[in-house]
Formats: sequence, structure tokens, C-alpha cells
Amino acid sequence: MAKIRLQFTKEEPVRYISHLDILRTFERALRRAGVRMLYSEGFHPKPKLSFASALSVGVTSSAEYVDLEVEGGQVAEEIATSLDAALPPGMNIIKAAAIDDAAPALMAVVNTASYALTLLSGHGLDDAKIETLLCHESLPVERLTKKKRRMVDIRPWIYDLTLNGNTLLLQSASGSQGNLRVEEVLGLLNLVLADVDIQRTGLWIRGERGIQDPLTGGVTP
Amino acid sequence: MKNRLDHILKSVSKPARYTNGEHNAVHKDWTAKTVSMALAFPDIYEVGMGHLGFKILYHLINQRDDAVAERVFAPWVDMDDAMRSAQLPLFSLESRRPLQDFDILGFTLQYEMSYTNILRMLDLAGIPRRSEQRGSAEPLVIAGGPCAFNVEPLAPFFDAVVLGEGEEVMQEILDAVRIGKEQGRDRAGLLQVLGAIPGIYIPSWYQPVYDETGRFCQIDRTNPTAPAAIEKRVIRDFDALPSPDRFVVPYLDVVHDRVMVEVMRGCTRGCRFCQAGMLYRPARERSVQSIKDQVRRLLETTGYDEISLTSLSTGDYSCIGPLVKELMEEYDQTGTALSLPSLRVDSFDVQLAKDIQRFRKTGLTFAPEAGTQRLRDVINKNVKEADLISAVEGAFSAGWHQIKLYFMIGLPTETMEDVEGIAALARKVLAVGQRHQKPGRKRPTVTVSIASFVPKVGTPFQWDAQDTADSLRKKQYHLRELLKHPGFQFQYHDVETSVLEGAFARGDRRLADVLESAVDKGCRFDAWTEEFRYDAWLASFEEHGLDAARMAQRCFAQNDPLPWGHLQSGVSEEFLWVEHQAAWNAMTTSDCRLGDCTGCAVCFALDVKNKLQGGE
Repeated sequence: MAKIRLQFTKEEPVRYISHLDILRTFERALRRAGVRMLYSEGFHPKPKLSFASALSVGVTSSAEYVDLEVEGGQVAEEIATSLDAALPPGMNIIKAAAIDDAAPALMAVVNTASYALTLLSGHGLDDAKIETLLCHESLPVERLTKKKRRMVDIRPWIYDLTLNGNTLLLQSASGSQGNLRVEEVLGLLNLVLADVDIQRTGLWIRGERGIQDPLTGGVTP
Repeated sequence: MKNRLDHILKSVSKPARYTNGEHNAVHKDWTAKTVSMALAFPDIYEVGMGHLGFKILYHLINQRDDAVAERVFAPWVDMDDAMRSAQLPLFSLESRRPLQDFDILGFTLQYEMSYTNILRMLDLAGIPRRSEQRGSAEPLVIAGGPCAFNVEPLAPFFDAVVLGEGEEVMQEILDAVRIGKEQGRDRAGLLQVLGAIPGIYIPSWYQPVYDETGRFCQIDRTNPTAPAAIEKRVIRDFDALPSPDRFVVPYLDVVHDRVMVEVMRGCTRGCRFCQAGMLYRPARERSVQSIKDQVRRLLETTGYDEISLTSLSTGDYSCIGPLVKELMEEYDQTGTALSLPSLRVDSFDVQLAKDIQRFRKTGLTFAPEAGTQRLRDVINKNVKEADLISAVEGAFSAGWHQIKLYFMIGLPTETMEDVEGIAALARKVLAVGQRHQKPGRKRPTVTVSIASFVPKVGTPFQWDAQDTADSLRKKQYHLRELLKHPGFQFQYHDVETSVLEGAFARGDRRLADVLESAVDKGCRFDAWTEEFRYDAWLASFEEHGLDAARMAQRCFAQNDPLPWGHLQSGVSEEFLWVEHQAAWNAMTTSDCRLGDCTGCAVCFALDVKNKLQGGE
């Protein structure tokens, strides 16, 4: 068996498909590409794919990651080429590498995400407003999970927030150790999702070695 | 337009319903000469994308150099409202062109509860609802599908209606439209050409006549070239029919999301309630080789991991055993699952079922349809209790634990004893399951799914009244009580919807006004419980001096003129009446594939015959 890590994009015209749609799309593209996958056990065997973090409906991305568990004897670059050809418009494979079989799951190591939020007209944002927001030591926000409402402090999860012309650049916590939802930051700036075009520009592993992308870091056990 | 659309897409649920770019979707450039057709399914994307007929026509039309087919589905209520506010006209998925820009707009008529969506889609497209209001600038609005055999309630809204199978006639329609464009024909001229094509009904050439009490008397022809009756189109050599080698692969989770291959068309079992069985005769099978080839090509081009062999009764396909065996051999190690919509009770083959579900086991479904042998004989459903019990014995002992049973209530001659028979049968099936239950394994469950019978045109029951709403409700309630026991799941449908279906299924052209009023009152997505508004429908009927329940409970005598009599499937009215009488006497009729001709006359009327691959 081999573990292959891929970096892929999700761009127009598939901006509006969901994470589950992406999963399905990959499963089918892998079959069309003739990639020999390993399957899970149980009543409903599925090809073994694991993603880093779900990408919401309406969000594009230039850098998403997925791990494939494949039958041995297949080359990462060949898988990338045939998969890229089989994927529908808007989804492309950027990079591929074989990684250690025992490398930790993407979901376990990815802890940071970066976004470029293109502001649509009339947003009224400026550097001063960003400054003011970041000056707060805590930014409590109400979060509704399936059954509970609770207050979370999202300030520690905002690593960087800058305004670059009409684009808001955000770097924030992502994953089980802390997860910032883009709409929460927007809410604090009096914006809603409909006011922006969101692009995820990267997923990262922040650790002692600094910030690495998942094809550089997190590839060994 | 893109910005307005993007803004809306960010605020509606499942925006991917309205975007494009799916794998195998066809994006073609249009020229002045291209004949453009918008294929419209009057329900949401997730429902319409499961429709095989739609997929077939889409790829067939797009294979032509001179034509293009694009898809459009009914926008869900939030999108519909948002588009109206933003004054964004209904557009096709592929090129996002307004439907107004197409040469032809074709709707598929699959079920009566989709009719309001048809008018809403026309409104949203800015196309006049009625045929007589449309000019040469507007698309030709046509329809096809099973409900075309009683299209009268929709007659004023369509310029032309196709009866029967669409593959051949679709090409003829495109040819006619192309030539019409080249010659600069006007609308009336184009309809004249289309009306001369066999299988095409031009509603505006016919005028129904009613007596003082509102009963249908006859249908007059307003155009001297109009034929007295229109006979359906049928593909004589179904095996030779080229089939698409690719289908659009949706992003969204849609119904029937797998490779679908038709193993045959038509069915001659003669179940008397079954409209499809009566309308799509004769039975014509594909060869095992061509099915296998189609499966292989479709798996390669789509990447699906599941194959479904579809037909009206796949268990009856004469080579089902060898076909399944060969498919399993080819795909067993590839992680591809095989599914059959349902299996025959009377020859349920446990080994076959095991083979099919080797990769992924799901529940098993059987359709006894009625709870007593007497009533099963009335409807000519050839299922004996002993066969059902032995089938479920085989299933439970082989490790299945979920069985689903389909039944109908409200069948002609039905008594409460027949209804109780449903519960008795279900109890026997569950008892078998319990006997086979091993400690530590899942408990057996029997799901009983009840549909309310709607008499359909073209069947022996077309003369009979639908059961009343009160009676249906009483029966549902009684069954629910009888099946209140762990191990049973009971599913049933809203009775009011069934009454409305009953009114439209055998309705006449007066219902067109009722339909319009209902749409004006905001009715849409009537098949969806959360959107169904019975009060608005009742008011619409009342406005036009009609009553839904009375229409659904209409009983016709043998010699009464029928509002749909001019729309013919090739099966003779005499045969249907003979079957009607046999039904009321609980006498059965056999399948002509297995024995003598039963006299339905379709083979003579249309110069066709059954075509089986295996021995007869």
C-alpha cells in the first residue's frame, strides 16, 4: 500500500459545491482515472480518502489537501496527472507526493488556515477598523452547535488580519484545537457572507518548525 | 447577470442546483443555425437528474452537430422567490441563457403533482402560459412522458405533445424545426409539419365538447388535417437502439445516483392497475452483450461504483441469471455494486439475490400490492402467498434482516378484509424473520409501504372510481393500528394528494383553468408535503364550478366517451374492457410472453411484437 498526499484546487464553476460533493467527485474521478484505491471494511466499503478540513459551500480554494490510500506500485506523479485529467472543471491537482504510511492524518496536523476575502462594493472597511478589532484582548462570539449555545473567545484564533486594497487577508486557527469561522470575523466587522467572495489560500501546520504546508510538514510519523 | 446571480446564489439553499460544469455536461457554442432545445424537468435538480429519459434525450440531441440540448429544473421555492424579486428570468444550466432564447422548450410529464411547477417555470421564463398566446418569437413548448397519455388537463399550455418513446421522434422534431428555421416558417406552419409526424398530438387542433351537466361528449377537430386519434411511438428493435455512452455526473446527492441501464422496455404481465405496463407494450429485451457493453462504457465515463439494471420488471428479463453472473464476474473485484429495483416473488432466487448484493447488502423489496389472493387476482398481480413466504424464508436465512413490502389500498372491489390481509401477510413475513434471527444479530424489520390507488388512463381500471378520502383514511388508520408492533415500519401517503392525483389522472381539459388558478394562488411543488396547499386547490376547483373528489370518483360506463380516447397506446379498448370485467370477477389473465396471446392487439395496431433474448 502507499499513502499519497495531494494538493488540489476548488475554483469556479464549482464554488458552490459542498465538502460531501467534493468527496463524491473525488471518488468518481479516481475511478475514471483508474487509480487503484484501498477500501474501508464493513457493510459499505468506501475508498480511503481523508481531507484536512471541510470547505464550505460558496468558498473557493487554491490549496486544499487530501490523503489517498492506494494499492502499492502506483507512482504519485502518475496518479496526479491522471486524476487531474479526470477531475471536472474547477478542480485541479497542483502537487502530489508519496508520504510515509504512518504519517499522521491531515485532520490531526493541520491547525491553521489562510483566506483572502474579496470585499464587494460599499463595505466601509479601513485599516483603522481592523486595528480597533485587533486591539481587543478578547472577542466573545456566540456559537450555536447542534444542541447548545455557548460563548467562545475567537481573539486568540485570529493570527493575522490585514486589509490589502479590497481584499481582507486572514490567517486563523483551523481544526480540533481551535476553529475560527470566517463569518464570525465578518460579523465583528459588520459584514455578512453575501458581502464577500471567500477564497481559502492555504492550510498550514504551525509548530516548533514555524509554519509549514502539509506537503512539507506532517509527512512523517 | 453573473453578479446578480452570484448574489442570489449566496443566499439560497443548495446553490449547486443552479450551477453547471458537471463531468460529461455538454457545453456547446450556438450558431444562428443551431436548433436549441431546453429540456425541462418540473422538479428540483436532485429529482430531475435521476430521470433516465432526460439523460438519454440530452445526450442524443447533443450528439447532433446541428442541435444543442441544455437542462433546466424547477428552482426551489427560495430561488424562485429570489429570482422573481431580482427579475432574473429562468435560465438553462449550461449556457445560462434565458429559456426565451431557445427554439424548443420540452417538459417531461412524469406525475400529476408536478403540473403547477410547469406553469411556474413558464412564468419565470417570461413565456406565455397558453399556446394561443405565443408568437413566433417564443420557443415551441412541447411535452412527453407517461402523463402525455392524458395530457388534456394541460392541453392549452402545450403546442405539441409526444406520445410514447422519444428517441426516434425527437430526431424528427429537431429536423422539422431546423427546416422550419431555414425556410422561415411561422408558428402555425411549424405546427402543421409537426402534427403530420406520427405520435405527435397538437392540442389546439382539437376541441372537447361537454353536455349541460358538464360530462364529456366528444372531441371535435378544428383542423381538417388533424387525425381522429394519435397513436404512440414505439421503438421496434430496442436492442438495436444506440444508447448514450455517457451521462452527466452530478455534484449534488441526487436520486438514483448510479449507472442505469435499461435491460428491456415494456411488460406484458398484465397487472391491471399498472399504467406503464399497459402503455409501453410490447416487451422488448436488450441482449446480454449489449447490456454488458453499455455498463462497461458508462462505468468508464462516469466513475460510478454502482450499476442498476432498470426496466418495469427486471426480474422478468429472460436472461437475468446469466446476465447477473457475467456482470458479477466482470466487476466483483472492482468494488462495484449491482442493484435491481425489485425481484420477482414467484421465482425469487436466493442465490441471485446473494450474487447481486455480494459487495454491498441492502434491504430486499417485494410488491405483493394486495393483502388477499382474491384481490391479487382482481388486479392480476401474480403473487401467491406461498411464494412470498418461501422468498422471505430464503432471504432471512441467507442473512437479510430488512424486508420492504409494497401494497396499495383503495383497489376496486376492496373490502376491509382485504386491507386486514395486508397486516396478516406482514405479520407472517415478520414471523419468518424472527424464526431466523440469530442471537446478537440485528432484529428483523418489515416495512409496509401503502400507496393509495389512483385509476389511470389506458388501464382496465380507467372506468372505475377512486376510493373516497374518508375510506382511504380509515384504511390507513386501521392498518397503522394493526401494525403497531416493534419490528414493523408503516409508511403511507397523504390522502388529499391522492385525491388531487385522482382528479388529474382522469381529468379533462376543464382542469386547465383550475390548474392556472391554483398556480395564481401560489401552489407549487405539490409533491412536497411542506409546500402542498390543499385549501388553495379546493378554492381553485370551486372557482370553476368543479370538485376534485367528484372528479376522482367519476365512474364511466363501457360506452361512455372518454376525454382521453383520442390518445392511444395501441392496446385496444375492447381488451381493456374485457380485462375490466375479468377483474371484477377475480379472474386472472396470463402473460403473453409465457403462453397464448391475450388479445390486447398492440402488436397488430403498431406492427410490433415481443422480443425476448432468452428462450420463451
